[in-house]
Amino acid sequence: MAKTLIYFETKGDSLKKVSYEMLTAAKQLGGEVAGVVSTSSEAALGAACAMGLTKLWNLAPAEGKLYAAEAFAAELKKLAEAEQPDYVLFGQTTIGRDLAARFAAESGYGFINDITGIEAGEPPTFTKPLYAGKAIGQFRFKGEPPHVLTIRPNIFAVAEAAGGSVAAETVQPDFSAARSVLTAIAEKAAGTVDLREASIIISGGRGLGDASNFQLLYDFAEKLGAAVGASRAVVDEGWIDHANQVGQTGKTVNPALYIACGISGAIQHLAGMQTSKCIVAINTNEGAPIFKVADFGIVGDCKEVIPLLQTELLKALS
Amino acid sequence: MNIVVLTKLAPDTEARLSISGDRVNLAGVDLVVSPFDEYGLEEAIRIKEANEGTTVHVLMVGPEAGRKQIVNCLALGADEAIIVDDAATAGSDPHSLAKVLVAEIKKLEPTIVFAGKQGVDYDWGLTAIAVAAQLGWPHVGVAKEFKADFGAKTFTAVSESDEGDMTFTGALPAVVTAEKGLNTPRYASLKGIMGAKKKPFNVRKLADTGVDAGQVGAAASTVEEVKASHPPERPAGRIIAGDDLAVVVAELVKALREEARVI
Repeated sequence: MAKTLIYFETKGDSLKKVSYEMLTAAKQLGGEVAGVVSTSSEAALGAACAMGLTKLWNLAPAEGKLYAAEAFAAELKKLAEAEQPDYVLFGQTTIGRDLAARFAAESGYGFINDITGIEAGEPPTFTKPLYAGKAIGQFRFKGEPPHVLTIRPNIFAVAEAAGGSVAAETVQPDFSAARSVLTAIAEKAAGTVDLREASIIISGGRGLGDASNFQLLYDFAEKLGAAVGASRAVVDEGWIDHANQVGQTGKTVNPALYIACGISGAIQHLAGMQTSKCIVAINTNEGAPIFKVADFGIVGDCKEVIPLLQTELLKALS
Repeated sequence: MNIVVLTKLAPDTEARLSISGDRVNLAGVDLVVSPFDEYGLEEAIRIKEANEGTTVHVLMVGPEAGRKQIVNCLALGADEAIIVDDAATAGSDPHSLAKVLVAEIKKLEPTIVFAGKQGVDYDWGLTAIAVAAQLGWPHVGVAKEFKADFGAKTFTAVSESDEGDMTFTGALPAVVTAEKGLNTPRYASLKGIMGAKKKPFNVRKLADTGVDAGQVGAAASTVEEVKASHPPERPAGRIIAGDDLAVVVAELVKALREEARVI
């Protein structure tokens, strides 16, 4: 029976969605599941306690010292040596990818990141997009466990917390030994939906004409609880921040609905969004490559289509 | 002060990839300096310009066939290139690659090692952090802002996250991995291009680094690549057309609800 240790991530008073997705991945690996979390929120800790775990450790953050890769990796190393898990799971998030890499690097553990699938077997095979999704790779671990995995958010099903209540053991990471420390997290503007978590993304490209027309997308996003994405071309033009870029040098996204407005569909952009459940393309050029990957297309001017679509979708959703 | 910039070559992001023999076939594909590394290089050059007596070294484990791309790094403002070109490193995992890089980095005693947040090929995002771990240095990952105080030997960096921008503070020397947006990389000037040819360009073998061949290559790798394939093709979609745009949009929303079932 496999033994898996999950590094759960929290956001405020709750566990992040990817935490429940990691539980699904751990169940696919089979066997016992233990957890690590790092939170000062009683509610978030309580949510972790109810995940149906055999054990749980809380790496307690300190005032102005929220995370440190070196200190956290050192504690995880101690836990891994004591508990001997076969797999240690992280989310492919800013902190998850950072800690997974440092933890694997400190001990030279096998590392497969950003996985999108697990195929049972002895040993199991892990699927991971390569070249930002232009190819799909399948990998196996060699050598001795523990093996380190990070899972791509929004791919694995959200597991129901199994209930029960395990008592969390508090571990104090040694921040004094850490020489790179997360000291503050700036709060996001209220109402902005993160690209990686959005179920609807409305994305704009050069076909919008100029930067001011992005306002149509912001209005749409606000009304529909969507996130705003962008092509590399308009990010490089300075129309919108890189945080909004979708594609190979931006974010890889997989919402339920991706609406590409005035985006021609360069291969590096398609790589970042082609796993979306449904793709709608709006473009004046009917020969644009984006129509080849779109489920539905409208050949027309985004400036006219977006407001109409906003109204119709609001009607449909109300 | 020395600064090392780690680079690797990767297919141009505009390239289409073909698969043959269960592997991505890169024959005939244009290779470029992996885009995220360019932000690391630019940051290093800016530090050099602001701090007299700084030398920027570009370091790569990879084929000498990539010489042209690395010469361009010299044209942009790096002072020296080091390529470790040895067939024994083929198939190395990031831990092994880091060993080779660390052997060369130690000779230079740099204050900062820059790298891209990941190579735009296998997207591991591990090699640079493994370099930090093996050096026993701190690292900061996916930096979109970076500021160093060389007198106080400290740094501040900002990384973007789903929770909001994260501020890291730390001590030098450190490994810093760059996110797009850290800066806007320059283009090479004619003077830079002319000068690049005279800058030191060192090609080394694994034996020169002191790393044992048994520690690198596919045999030492902690993971095995089973196969690579094309992503599943999306089924052909349809264009919704009509004279009245309002009717077209209504039809689209109906399709999203009844066919795609995403709303």
